[in-house]
Amino acid sequence: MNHPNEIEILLVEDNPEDLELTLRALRKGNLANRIEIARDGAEALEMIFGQNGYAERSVEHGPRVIFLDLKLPKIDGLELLQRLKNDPRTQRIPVVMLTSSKEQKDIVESYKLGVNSYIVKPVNFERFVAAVQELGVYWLLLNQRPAGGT
Amino acid sequence: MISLVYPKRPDRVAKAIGLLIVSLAVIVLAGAALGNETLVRVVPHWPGMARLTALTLILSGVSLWCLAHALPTHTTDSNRSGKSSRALIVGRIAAALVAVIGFSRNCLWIGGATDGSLDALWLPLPESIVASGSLPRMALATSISFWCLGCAMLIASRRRFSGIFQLFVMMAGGIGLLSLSRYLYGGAPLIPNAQMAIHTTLALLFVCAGTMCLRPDGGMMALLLSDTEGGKMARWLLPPALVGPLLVGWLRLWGQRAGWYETEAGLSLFAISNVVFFCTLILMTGVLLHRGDLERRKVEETLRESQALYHSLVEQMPVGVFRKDEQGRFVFVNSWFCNLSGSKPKHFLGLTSVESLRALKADSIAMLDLEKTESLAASGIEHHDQIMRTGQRIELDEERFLADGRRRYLHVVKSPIYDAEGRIAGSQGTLIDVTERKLAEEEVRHLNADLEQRVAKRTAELEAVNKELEAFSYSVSHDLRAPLRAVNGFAIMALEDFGDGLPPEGRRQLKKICDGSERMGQLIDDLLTFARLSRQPVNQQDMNTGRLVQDVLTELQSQQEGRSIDLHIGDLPACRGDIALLKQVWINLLSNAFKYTRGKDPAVVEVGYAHDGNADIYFVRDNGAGFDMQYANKLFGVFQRLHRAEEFEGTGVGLAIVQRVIHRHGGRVWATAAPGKGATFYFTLGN
Repeated sequence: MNHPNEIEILLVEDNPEDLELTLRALRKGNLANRIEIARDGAEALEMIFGQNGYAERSVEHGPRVIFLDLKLPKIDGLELLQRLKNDPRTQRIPVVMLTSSKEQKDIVESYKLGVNSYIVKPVNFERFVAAVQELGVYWLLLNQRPAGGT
Repeated sequence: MISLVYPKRPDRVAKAIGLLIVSLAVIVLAGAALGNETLVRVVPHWPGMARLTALTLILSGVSLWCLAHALPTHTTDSNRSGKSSRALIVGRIAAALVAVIGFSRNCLWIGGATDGSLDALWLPLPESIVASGSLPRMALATSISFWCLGCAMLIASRRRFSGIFQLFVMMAGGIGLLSLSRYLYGGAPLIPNAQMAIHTTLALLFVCAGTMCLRPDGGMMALLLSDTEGGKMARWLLPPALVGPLLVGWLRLWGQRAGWYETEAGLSLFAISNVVFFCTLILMTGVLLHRGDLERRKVEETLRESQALYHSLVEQMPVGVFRKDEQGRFVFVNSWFCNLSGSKPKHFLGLTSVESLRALKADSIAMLDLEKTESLAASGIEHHDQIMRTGQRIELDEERFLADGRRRYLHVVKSPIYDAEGRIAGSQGTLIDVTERKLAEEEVRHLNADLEQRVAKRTAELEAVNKELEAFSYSVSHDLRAPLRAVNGFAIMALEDFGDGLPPEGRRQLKKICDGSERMGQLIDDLLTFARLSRQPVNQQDMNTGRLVQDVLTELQSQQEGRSIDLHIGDLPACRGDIALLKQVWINLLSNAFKYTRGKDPAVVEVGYAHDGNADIYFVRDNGAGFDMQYANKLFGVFQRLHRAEEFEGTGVGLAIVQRVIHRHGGRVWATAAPGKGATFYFTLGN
């Protein structure tokens, strides 16, 4: 079931501090085995669709879950989300918004585009760790994927 | 022309006299035929009425009645014309017969026929009766009276003979009076050849009066019948002037016959009596005239005053006034009207609008732009014609173009003038300068347009500011939290990774960094909530306050496990407002109540309602920490706290949110409290 090239979590995050905190939280929950990191929306797209420097990847073997920040350079979180959900090859990949924004319009817009979860990063690190761990457990272990790859 | 108003109907008087005379003559004729001497002579041995006289009297009566019937009265009766023209012919024929009978008797007398032959000529009688010689004959005086009256009645309807008419009647009347005086004084008749019978005399006097009534609008009768002072005076004076001297003369004669005095003394008495009588009459008349005159003068003075008042009013008021006659020529203009064009009354009086414009041009009056006034002059004439035709008033706004390019706006009202008969005799107009008002209206219009533009601009500005604020709060929400998370996260990581190697003080300080950053995150969240509630539109709807409070309490109580809280919830009436915003209010107030009663056992929290005048007041009361009322003014400020953070945690935004929401509902919020004894928060939701 697990393809050798398959990554479990694609973390799209431009902020290095947040990136470090998130990775630490995932490591604490023993979830950091196969994490890929994209630093902006464009890079994330290339990774998912196996373009440019990521030719070894194929879109058929996408990540099992994507943790997506809202504000990103080049292509922002909402646009990325829209592209994934509009493409039949990627629309079944669960996407979790992991963001600082509590704005209603961001939340509403994300759900409209088909986001699977929307998590506001707590300022408190302990709560942040707890949230990230729970997310990992939920999406990688508890949640049942549709059969037949992606 | 002022027409006379007749106080009576003189034609009826004439008709009545006509009927009276005819009946008298018929009675006398009947008496003569039956041989009744009383009817013929009245008193035995007095002269009797001749049959011919009676016949002529009948003719006079008929003539009088017919002519009176044909008399045009002031009541317009169209179907009279046919009847009246017939009556006129009959009346004239009868009058002519009267004149001819009288005149022929007169001529015969001059020719020496003093006997009854004339009577026989006109009224043939059996020879035996004529021969007896005892039959009365028509007296000479009677015959003169008859032809005078006949002629007078013939020409009664001709206005230009009115002088001769009166002369004839007065001659006949004079002869009648002469005959009457003969009956008072006795003696031989002044006019020879038989004495007039007493009833003939009276009948003749009556016929005279009736004949006078046939010409009520001319000469003496016009005066007698008029309601002027002269008419009144004449009516008052005439009877005593007629009767007085006759009576005095009779008294004098009576005294002389009784042997009280001789002829000379009697004459002097008579003269003196007459003098006294007429002096008295004249003096009384004088007094009356004097009074009337004084009164008239007073009236004239009042009239002059009122005219002066009217004149000064019309001349001084800031309104143009003009009057035009039937032909549309100005007959009056006031000074304001002239000033309007810088002209003089001579440019208008006697001229039509178009002509007066020509006159203004001829004098090169430069105040108005005369070229642009052409159309106004034409419409002036048009309006006048319209008013003369329809009698309807015209109201309109006109513009006057001044030579210097400015305009004056006039409100013009034109209306008809009626004469005493109610006919339209001309038109009049008033002009009011409404330039200021017009300009003010234009100014208001201008200002309104300007204001709308400014409002639109300001709205756009405000919208832009709002957008900026939204963008700002978005960046606060997102960008400010990320570094805070880093501060908090790395401090904790440092504690985790290197905590063991750090001295206790170092660990404490790192802990402070964690707490501080966390607290700041809370502040940012609260501030964002506050900002969001401030700009979110208030969506008014009816709601069940009791259930709302119950929901909030259920939510809050789950966080208060292990505490014993005494809750009292009173009756809460339904209210109207934004359900999401008001829920926030109840959450903040109730969570405050729970928070500040933390140290109390039991904690008592009361939710209630009171009605004060016209406002519904909701309140939340607790027996918690309370506060000092001298700081009450700081209670609702953002980030204002009345307790230290160690005692009660909080950011100081909750009550600010409460106040903001209540204000946005048009209500007000306040609190009463005492330190250690609890606090009560009240709020209303407007009306």
